[in-house]
Amino acid sequence: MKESCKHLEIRGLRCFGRGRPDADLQAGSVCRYPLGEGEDAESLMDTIFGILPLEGGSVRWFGTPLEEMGEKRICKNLRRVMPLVADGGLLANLPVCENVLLPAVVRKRHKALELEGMLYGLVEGGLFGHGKETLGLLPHQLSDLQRCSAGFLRALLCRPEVICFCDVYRVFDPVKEKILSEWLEEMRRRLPESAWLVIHSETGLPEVFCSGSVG
Amino acid sequence: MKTVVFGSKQAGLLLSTLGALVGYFSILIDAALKSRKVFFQPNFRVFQRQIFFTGVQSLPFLAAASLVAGFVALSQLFLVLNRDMAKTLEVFQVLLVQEGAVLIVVFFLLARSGSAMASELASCSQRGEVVALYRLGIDPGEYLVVPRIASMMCCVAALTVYCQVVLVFGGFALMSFFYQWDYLFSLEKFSRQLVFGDAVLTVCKTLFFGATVGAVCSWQGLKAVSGPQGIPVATSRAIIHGFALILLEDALFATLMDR
Repeated sequence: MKESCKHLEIRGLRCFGRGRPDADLQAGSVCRYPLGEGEDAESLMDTIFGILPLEGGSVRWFGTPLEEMGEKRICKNLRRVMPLVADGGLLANLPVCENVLLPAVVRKRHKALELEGMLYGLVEGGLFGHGKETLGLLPHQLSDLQRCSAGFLRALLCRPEVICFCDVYRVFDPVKEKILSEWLEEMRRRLPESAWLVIHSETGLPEVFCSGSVG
Repeated sequence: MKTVVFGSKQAGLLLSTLGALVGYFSILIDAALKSRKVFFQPNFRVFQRQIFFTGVQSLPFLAAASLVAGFVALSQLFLVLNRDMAKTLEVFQVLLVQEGAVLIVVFFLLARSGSAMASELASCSQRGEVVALYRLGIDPGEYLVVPRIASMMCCVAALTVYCQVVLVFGGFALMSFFYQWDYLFSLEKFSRQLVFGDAVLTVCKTLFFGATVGAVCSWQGLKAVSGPQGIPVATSRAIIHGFALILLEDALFATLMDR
């Protein structure tokens, strides 16, 4: 594969004063990205996303180095990426339905009404623990697992090229972790072309999920 | 004799105020450059919601406040000016319809919606929603700030016209009831005093004030520091800075009008 086709390339990244492993993400790959002690996934993700300045090393999105991109271009590139975080990254005062639709509408993949139809079509079978009734609720009325999985619905509607899965499982007990691992399998099945960067600090789910694809 | 020393505390305060002024100006310029984006669907929904909360929900209170203010001002002026209706109407038009109505509306919206806007954005910022938006490839300025400033401008302008209408029609109705004014005659006399240029200037002023309230509250909200004091401090700063800036701008407008 040509270098410019790589979705995400991380080389010699320094974060919290420590060097990070290198990673190349290409379509369909799943890359485990371990955190050291005392490091948090959010800050690492912010460094990779260009929100925090690079301390050292390089991050290259879709063939272009991050430092060469202006803020506008980073923002545009981020529309090809989907972060999945423990609380779903939901806005507190928007109902779940609008929260899920917002990034898809911004990315202009389909018309808003079509997207709404697609979303209701997805949740009809109770996908990821969501039903029609949960879509009208506010984020604080959902369970932690439902909040997390609202991010999955977002990703299914947006079909991003890169999914940045950020230490989500850490907050869950083993029962919920099992449910989550099933949902992740479902996500992989539905989005086979997406590249996954799994940022994690513990063993368990990431080892199973990223088997054979450690970066 | 006690000497007043311009110490580091005062210098810090001055610098932070200057920094805030630069911030308001920059957020206003940024919003103006992105103003087209208000019609983009998700932003337009925020705009509609803000119009509802800021504009529509304020209507009953503003109607009551304007009615009372109109009647009180007219009755007091009428008594002070020796029951001279022509002079009463003249002063009423300049003092209350042209100046007072704008200030009633803008201060009311600053206290009611501006505080809500600052605290909402401050809590957004504290919960990490601003960063979450950015990570999703959504410009927080376009999504959070532009619709709020645009809606504040529209609401201040529209509510000022509404307030002026209630002041005049309601005030004259109460005057005709309590002081036996001829309702139609007073309306006709009042309408002859109106000047088109003044109306245009008032609308310009309201748009300017609306933009100021929106920018001040948005900036203070987004710049809220983390911790339990972040939201109340941001809200109170937004109100105080907004109040001071509105008075300053009004004085500036009055001076410009004089020339």
